Amino acid sequence: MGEILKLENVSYTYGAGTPFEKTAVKDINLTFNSGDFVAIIGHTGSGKSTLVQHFNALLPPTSGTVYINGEDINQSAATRRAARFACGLVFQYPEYQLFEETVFLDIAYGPKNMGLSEIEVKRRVLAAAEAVGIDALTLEKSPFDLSGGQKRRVAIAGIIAMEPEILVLDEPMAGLDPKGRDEILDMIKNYHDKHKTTIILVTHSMEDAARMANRIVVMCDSSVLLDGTPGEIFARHDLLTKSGLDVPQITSVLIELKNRGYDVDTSVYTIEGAKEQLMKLRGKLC
Amino acid sequence: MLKDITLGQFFPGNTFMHKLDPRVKLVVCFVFIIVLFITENLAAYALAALFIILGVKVSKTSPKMLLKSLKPIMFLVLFTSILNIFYIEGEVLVRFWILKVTKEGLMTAFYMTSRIIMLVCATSLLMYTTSPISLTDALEHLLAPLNKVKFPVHEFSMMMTIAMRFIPTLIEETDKIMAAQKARGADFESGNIFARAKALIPILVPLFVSSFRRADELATAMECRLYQGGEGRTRLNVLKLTKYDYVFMVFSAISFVLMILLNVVGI
Ligand SMILES: Nc1ncnc2c1ncn2[C@@H]1O[C@H](COP(=O)(O)OP(=O)(O)OP(=O)(O)O)[C@@H](O)[C@H]1O
Ligand SMILES: [Mg+2]
Repeated sequence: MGEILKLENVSYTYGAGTPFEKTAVKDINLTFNSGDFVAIIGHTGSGKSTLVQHFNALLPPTSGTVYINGEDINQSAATRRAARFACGLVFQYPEYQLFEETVFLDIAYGPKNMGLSEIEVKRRVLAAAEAVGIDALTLEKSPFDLSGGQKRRVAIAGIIAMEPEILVLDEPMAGLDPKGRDEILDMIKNYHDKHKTTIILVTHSMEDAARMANRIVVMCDSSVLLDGTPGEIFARHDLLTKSGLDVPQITSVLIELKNRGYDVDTSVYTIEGAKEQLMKLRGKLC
Repeated sequence: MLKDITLGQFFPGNTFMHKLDPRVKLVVCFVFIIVLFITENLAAYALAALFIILGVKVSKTSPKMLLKSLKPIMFLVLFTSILNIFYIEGEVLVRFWILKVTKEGLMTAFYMTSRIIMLVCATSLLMYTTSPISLTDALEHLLAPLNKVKFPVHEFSMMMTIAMRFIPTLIEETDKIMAAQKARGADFESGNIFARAKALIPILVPLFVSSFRRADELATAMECRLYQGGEGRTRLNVLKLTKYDYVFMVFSAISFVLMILLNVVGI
């Protein structure tokens, strides 16, 4: 699988030259491969949202370069526009960007901006609505009459309908109840399995990151602290706790067991894996 | 891009200028502007410029920020001074084609320009060193006598406070919505004027919706805390004059009197 998105020494400073200067992203080097499911995780204010806005040229890096498929995306207005369509970004709390009369029209806004034919727009809207679980009846409603969770789905569908090569979601579960969270997560997982789109998911939750992603990038104080598979990341629980993040609960149980002198593998992060470890331990002890 | 609007932006600090009572600053600024307009004398203007430079130094405001606030009025300044230079009758200095430059014209242009520039500098300095909240607080105090003629001073200043409080929030929100719509391929830069106006709809609708929601929530929150207007209301921060204020008032008064004297004597 080839590399699709690449960041080279990317830094970004808000309000450069004013007393409010703040470097939110510092010297980031990252490469994402096509078809990956990557989770970006980090404490509040660590620069996650700022970082992902570089992926589709919404923010031009103060220094450094961003490449999509090997091409610098900040060369001209045309390449920036192409990047918007190649890399779809769902913002934090995206439901506040809905504006059209009906859900259908709102989802169609992105594809229409791409200059697609009416038939193609319609096909994409229907496909996106199906992917996020919006039925035909809801498509004719006003987006302002929907519940919070439904609005969130519509907003995500608005990006999916553009059929981007890379789908970036900035905390799509924030502010939803546990059921709503699971539904959104399952929806994203299904979408990834079906379309093999590269997905970059920003989240606070180690559990979600562990369950969904095959690679985790940990951000801390504007820089990348760790980068690797979930197993590799959770093996460094000392570093994680120091940077204000948790390991999944199941991993912390194993860590505590290890601290008490039992021989278990602490890089396990799934219930299944933990069960295996505990069974092995039982076999040894009895 | 919207963040570049500097007028009315407050830079927190802990300098002499920041510690002054907002009422004193407001009145001094007001009197300064009046004095600027009633004097027309080189020495007096030099003194006024000194007064502003001193203010910039004491408040540790970066001169760059001050220059930035001057940018939007540069056109106005140029326009008025050019008109003045060519259209005022008097002793002719240079003449070419049908235009003539007079000494009186040059002087008037100079005074007009300095006046406008110093006016903007003084108000910007006031804005940079005073939080909007304490500014409206000061306004409420200074307008209090209007209560006698049934002018709702408290309600008026509360409206001002709320409006000022929400300007940064609205700007931030507009930025966010714009970014979100750009991510969906919105294009605000190209096309004719109608296309551009139409491109604003995806920003304005969410902005209005959230503003109304916010206003509604704020009203509910205020009612929950039994807000009922100005009568009998006490304050968290009572404005009180300190020795800094007296020093500043005396210093300003001396400067202003000097300016007027210089003007009268006509050095
Ligand atoms: N528009 C802005 N102007 C100035 N500073 C900003 C702006 N947006 C973010 N910042 C600052 O940049 C830093 C990183 O913010 P960012 O939103 O990227 O964090 P985050 O990791 O997404 O946090 P969260 O988990 O809360 O969403 C923060 O310290 C924030 O104060
Ligand atoms: Mg964020």
